[in-house]
Amino acid sequence: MIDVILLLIIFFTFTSQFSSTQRTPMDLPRERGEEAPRAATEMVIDLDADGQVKVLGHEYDLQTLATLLAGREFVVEGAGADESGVAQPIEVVIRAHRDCTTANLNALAQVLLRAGVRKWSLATSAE
Amino acid sequence: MRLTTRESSRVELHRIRLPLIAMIDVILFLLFYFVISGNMAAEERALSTTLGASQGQSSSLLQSQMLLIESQNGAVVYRIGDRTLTDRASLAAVLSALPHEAGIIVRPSAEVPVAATAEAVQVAKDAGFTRISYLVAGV
Repeated sequence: MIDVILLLIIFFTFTSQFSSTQRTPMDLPRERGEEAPRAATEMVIDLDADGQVKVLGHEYDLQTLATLLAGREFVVEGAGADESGVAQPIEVVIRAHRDCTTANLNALAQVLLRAGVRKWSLATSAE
Repeated sequence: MRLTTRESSRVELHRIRLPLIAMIDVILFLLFYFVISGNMAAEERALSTTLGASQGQSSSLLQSQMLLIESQNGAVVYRIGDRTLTDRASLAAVLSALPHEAGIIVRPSAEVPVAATAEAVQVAKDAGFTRISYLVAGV
């Protein structure tokens, strides 16, 4: 019985670990940053050194990403609601390569702004 | 039938024997878990800012200090007002001396790397700014 319980604990712990390690390896800016609490309405966008945008490993151009963000807003409605019933805005985390030019980051930021995103975070590596 | 003293002590010994197989399983699983989880969970942190457009800003945003990040002869420089700063330490010193209530606007130019932008945001946070806006030009 102990074996079974331990296996179950390990399984669930690993699956939660793997969900975070699914993120594409990225040479992030090396800054201390802050503790990043994982919000339920969080969207992680990768921006590699060439300015290529990826969400969950899939490449998107900015046009398609805008559509994706618009769709995402619809899906989040209700799911991200707080106790008062008001929907929470999507929190976006940008995992940008440290050598990526800010021109690419600004182009992405413009898409986010048009989609109504007002709060974002730049992912950093503490190492 | 009554047990003799020798038999009863043998029974006691038998009772307190540890279930070695299960214990080895448990220890190995715990060892395995800590080794794997320790290596795989790469720590990521975050620098949060508010996105702002260069058009249609609120008056409070306009009152904030503007931190420009530019590239000069291949090196990153920071500009606040008429001051040009070339390194992190001098930027930190200047930002610490500024009033923090109105917040700060970070506006990187297109050619600087993201690392420089992240550095500026980090220095602003370390200096005590809580309202940091990232200004996107030309929206």
